Amino acid sequence: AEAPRSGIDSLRRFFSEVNSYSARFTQVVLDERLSPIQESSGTLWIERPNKFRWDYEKPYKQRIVADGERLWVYDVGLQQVSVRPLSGGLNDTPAMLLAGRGRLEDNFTIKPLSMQNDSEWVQLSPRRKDSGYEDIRIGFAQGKLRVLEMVDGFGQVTRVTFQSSRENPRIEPNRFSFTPPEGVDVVGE
Amino acid sequence: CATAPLPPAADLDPVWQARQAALVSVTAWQLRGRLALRAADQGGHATLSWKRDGERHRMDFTGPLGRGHLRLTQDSQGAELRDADRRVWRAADAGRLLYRATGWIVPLDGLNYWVLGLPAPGPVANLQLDEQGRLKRLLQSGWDIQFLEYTRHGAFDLPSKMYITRQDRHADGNPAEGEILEVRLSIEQWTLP
Repeated sequence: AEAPRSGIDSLRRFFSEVNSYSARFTQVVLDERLSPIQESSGTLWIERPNKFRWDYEKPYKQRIVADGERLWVYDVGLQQVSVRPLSGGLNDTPAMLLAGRGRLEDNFTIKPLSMQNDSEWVQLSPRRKDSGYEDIRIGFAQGKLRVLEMVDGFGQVTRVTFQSSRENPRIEPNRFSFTPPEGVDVVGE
Repeated sequence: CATAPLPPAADLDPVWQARQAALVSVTAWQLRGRLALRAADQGGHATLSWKRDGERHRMDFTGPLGRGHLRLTQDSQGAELRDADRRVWRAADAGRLLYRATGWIVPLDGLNYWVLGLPAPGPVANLQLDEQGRLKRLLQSGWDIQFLEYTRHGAFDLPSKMYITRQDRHADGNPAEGEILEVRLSIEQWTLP
């Protein structure tokens, strides 16, 4: 049988061999006492470098699209789009990390964590102190990306769990382009 | 011929009176929702978790994908704002503090009452009710507050969608060129004692 894969190996493999990715996700936000304060779900697509799309479906519709140059956030219920340039760095948003390219070690100190509910975990602590989050933990099951946890300076945890994921699928290029719908306010952030 | 009865002036509407009296006593609550802010062509999105207990308020603003978390707390002593990089600002007034740190103009003092569907204490320029005797539109302290949707929570109908704008006006009431400020608030969850 294959040698048990460490979290670090799975992280390397994800960044070197997985150039596009799609999955359903469920997201839960836990407050600093780790009690859940919000749950949401939807679908995401990723393509290296710096392209991703998070479509939140429940409890409300929100589209977050990184088209390689800019980050668009469209809140359907509130009828507003915000847009800002992507700094391109891996430090932009933890979600950008998954779509990033380049050496992780330049931006993070990386540490394997112990096995936890049959997943191998790694911890990435940003080297820049103003990144807005304390650290990121990524869990892999049988070498496949399973959980992304972002812990911010208040100890609030945003935990995203991926299901029915596909590695290196062919993704329509227009999936990562965004055009604000008619009549919706577009604001710069 | 009998003219149609004039709609009862708000202050005579018994349903509205009873509703106001009941809501005014609710001084501990928690709401969770989403906020979109706009000033001319600048703005942003945030989820909002707001916990009030009498004089004490705690508001958590979190940006998309869990980024840019800001915590604003206020009590009788004053207000404090903390960001996710542990920076701290302090001031007497929460609204001014939020503006200084983020550039967002959010009428917190008014919102504290408006989110319950109540006018804030003090003068009211204009007030319109819907057929169920609930606030439909309110002009107060320079803000125009529209209550677009209500949802039932226990004994109360509470606002679930609000559209708040401020157009700086000249004394004669004509809009000044200054930017239009806009706050769109969707409230998904209420927790009442």
